[in-house]
Amino acid sequence: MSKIKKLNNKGMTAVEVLVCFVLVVIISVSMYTTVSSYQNKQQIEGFKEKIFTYKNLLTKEINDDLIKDGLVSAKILNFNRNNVTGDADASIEMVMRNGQKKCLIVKSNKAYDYFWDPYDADMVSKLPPNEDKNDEFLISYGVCGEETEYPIPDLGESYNANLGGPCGANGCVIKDLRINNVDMTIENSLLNIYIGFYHPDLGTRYGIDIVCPVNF
Amino acid sequence: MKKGKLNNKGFVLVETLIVSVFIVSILAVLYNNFYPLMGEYEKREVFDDIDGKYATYWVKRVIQHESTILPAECDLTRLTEGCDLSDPSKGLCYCKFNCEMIGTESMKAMCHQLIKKTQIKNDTRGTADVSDDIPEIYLTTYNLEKFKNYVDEKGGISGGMQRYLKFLPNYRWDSLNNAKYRVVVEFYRTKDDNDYLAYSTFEVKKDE
Repeated sequence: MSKIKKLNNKGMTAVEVLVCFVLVVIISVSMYTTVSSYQNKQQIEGFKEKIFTYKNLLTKEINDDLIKDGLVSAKILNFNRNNVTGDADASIEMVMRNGQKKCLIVKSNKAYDYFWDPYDADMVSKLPPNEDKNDEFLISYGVCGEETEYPIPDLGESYNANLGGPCGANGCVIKDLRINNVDMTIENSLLNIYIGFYHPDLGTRYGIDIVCPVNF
Repeated sequence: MKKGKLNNKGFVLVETLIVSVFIVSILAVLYNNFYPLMGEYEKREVFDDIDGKYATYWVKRVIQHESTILPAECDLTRLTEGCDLSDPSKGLCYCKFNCEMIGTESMKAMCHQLIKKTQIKNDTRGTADVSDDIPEIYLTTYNLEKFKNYVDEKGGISGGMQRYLKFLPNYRWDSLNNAKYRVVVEFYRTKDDNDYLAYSTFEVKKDE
């Protein structure tokens, strides 16, 4: 009987339990916000990695040809850019020292973006709802006539506000990664091709920028 | 009776709290030391990116071109002597390359266009005249050890460039291509409303 009495079997008081509980809750909440912010960061880093892989692959492919084969001349075959819709259709022909002709073709068809308001008469007159379309981007590069297609990475998509328009009840598809800007120039014997990307989380930071002197 | 002498009281709340606070402090110190590493990784994203590397390659090709005549201050012996911090009269440890060092007009025009299109950081001194361009193209010795010490001691270049130089190896062994110079370029990327600096380097093989 005396042996049992000497054991510590008092347990914890209500205050002790409460303090411990509050501490655990505080730690859990702070951990949750930290972990969720890292999860978001990890997702963005994943997007970056996909863009980098694509950008590096295409940049290296084109620059390898320009440097190893040598660029003799370049000609912009067509360059159409719609400043209202942001659509672009551009192609360039590059003649190498070995006589081979390489072509780069950029096609950018954009759905009306996040800021399109179907109730804004001015906007509707500039961007008629029935002329809307799904986002479609494609870059092709290779020997002219046999270009290889390089579809830009799929980083997710959403729909615009053009409900029941030509794309269907949900509106037109807006890709998360879009071609934002296309520029091709040949000035002072320098070729410059710029294809800028846009992503809601990464902005316009990433793009393909090719620069090469002509007949250097 | 012997068992009754065992200490079986457990911890009091204050003891637990003190230990908890101690552990939290250690974790906080660890976190504070670990977190800047992530920032460092983000900064390094602009070091030697693919656009910068190819742009610097073309700068190197322009410097190596036969029509480019480097001035006396870019002479390799002068640059090596300039790295001697004990004697400031011996000049600088680097020289800045600009398009006016090129002999032919067509190449000069191409060089200016290259600087413009690759967005090499450039102080035009507020004039529209491209001949006033002062691009941030540093030409120094292939081995960066002395240049790094020189910059650490004397400053005179941007903080970003200093960070980039610290990130680079010293290149203590001779170049396999027998290059004696090294070019280090600072870019100021502003296309599509961007606003950040980037850095890249390449070895340069130029006859003295």
